Amino acid sequence: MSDTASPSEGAGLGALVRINVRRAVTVGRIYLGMATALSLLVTGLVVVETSRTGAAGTVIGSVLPSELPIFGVVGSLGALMVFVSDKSKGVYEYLISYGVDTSVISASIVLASLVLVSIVLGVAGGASAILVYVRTGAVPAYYLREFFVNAVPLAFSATAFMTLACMVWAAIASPRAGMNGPVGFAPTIGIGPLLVVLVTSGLAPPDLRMWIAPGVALALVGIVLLLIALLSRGSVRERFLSTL
Amino acid sequence: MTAASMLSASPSHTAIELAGVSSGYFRKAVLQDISFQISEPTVYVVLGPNGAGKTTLFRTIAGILSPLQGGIRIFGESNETRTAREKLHYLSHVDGIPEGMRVREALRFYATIEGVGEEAVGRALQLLDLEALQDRYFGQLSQGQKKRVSVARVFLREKQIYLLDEPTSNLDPKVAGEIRDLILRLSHDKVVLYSSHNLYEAREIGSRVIAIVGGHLSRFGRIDDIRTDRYVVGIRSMSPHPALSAYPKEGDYYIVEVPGPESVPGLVADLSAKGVQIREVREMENPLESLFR
Repeated sequence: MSDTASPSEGAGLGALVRINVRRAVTVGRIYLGMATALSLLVTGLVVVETSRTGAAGTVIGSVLPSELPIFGVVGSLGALMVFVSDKSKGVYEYLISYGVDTSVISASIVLASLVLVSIVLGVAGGASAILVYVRTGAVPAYYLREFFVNAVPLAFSATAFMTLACMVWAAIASPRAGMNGPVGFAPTIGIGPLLVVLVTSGLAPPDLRMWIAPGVALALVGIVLLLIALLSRGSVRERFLSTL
Repeated sequence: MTAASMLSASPSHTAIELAGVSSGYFRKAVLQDISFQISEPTVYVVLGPNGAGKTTLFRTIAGILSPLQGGIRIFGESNETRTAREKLHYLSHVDGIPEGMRVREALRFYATIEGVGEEAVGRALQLLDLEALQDRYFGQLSQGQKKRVSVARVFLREKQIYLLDEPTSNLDPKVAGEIRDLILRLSHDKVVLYSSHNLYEAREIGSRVIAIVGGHLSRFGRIDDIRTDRYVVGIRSMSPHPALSAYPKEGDYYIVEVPGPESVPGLVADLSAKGVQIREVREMENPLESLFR
């Protein structure tokens, strides 16, 4: 027993994120596979449905990016499953004793969920871009704008918000929540902000519409950072203990 | 001056120092005003009835629970610091093994957190005789095997302080004995806090006792110094004898109360002189039981 390496090297955020991403992919592979497959299926259906009119490229480019965040939210559930499972198994009791901060644990789960979203967005976004290119001979600016200004910020922020909100739920619920509560209800929480964007976009004046999705995304990021900061308080540690 | 401010503020030879610590869950104190200092490397057995606060004590020293009052220092540093945490190992009564992992994978997970490599994993597997089980899923193991995996984690990396919360619960006597031997080897130059319900195990492994009753520190000192107002032995004779008829009988044993263990040789000599053929003398009550009263 003569290892001299410092645990601080291993217990950092980067190491935890790498471990949690691997585990989230394994644990949540059904959700990840289902979300990716559904996003591709919807892309395919839009192509088939609109190919007769010859407007497939335009429809895919304008409609699909607004639906991608939903698939992203569903595909990221593996990260939340890792959190709820680890908490109930007492894993965090050990990590905290090693000096890993509760905010680092929370951030590692949120970041792992964002990596899962990236996989869904990468596959579905890439596939839809290829289809748009095949149909129109170019990837038009409206597609890129929809994808990068609306779909990507909303998918990431809604997922981070959903993951963290459900982690807080799992931590503070009394009696303590099992896995079914937070994980089962999570998609509803994740899709909530997307519905807000959808409804307010319909009501807002046309010149403000393009700012609604980035604005909601920014607000969600603020809430997520605030919650992570609150989770670093010492009194929160007992909320991460197993009930076993 | 508050209890916390009485703690030494510089690097210290005192491994663990608690000053006026009250701690618990959700602002409700389980432990009340606990103060002690530990410097000498040896096994300190933490004893107490169920719900006394043993696990809370371990979690508080390990920095998992923040004290409601008072302060804790590990070698002179607050236990809130990373450097203090690096000096201690904590073994909980829960396994803490992530779901869906194989044995080797689980130890590798903790090795990564600890910043040690594959070599440490191999050594821990060997030490706890887990090599044959390393590719099995943790969830498929027996309770005893799970406990061995859980214990193996504290052998991944050498530290100065070991907080072991019931490390031999759920283990068969052979494996429990092997783990006690490993811990005894550790304790030559380490501070080991070892909680147990088993009073006989406590006497076997520990030289010091920390007794917690009702959230209060009821005893801190050498196990050998524990004296009780009565010491009960059972005498089993080869055949009935009038000299024993004055004593009550429990099964095969005549129950004799003497002032302390030092009186037993005299009692045996006296009975033998009266012609009693003694087959066995056994301790009927552990002196440590008095700590629970």
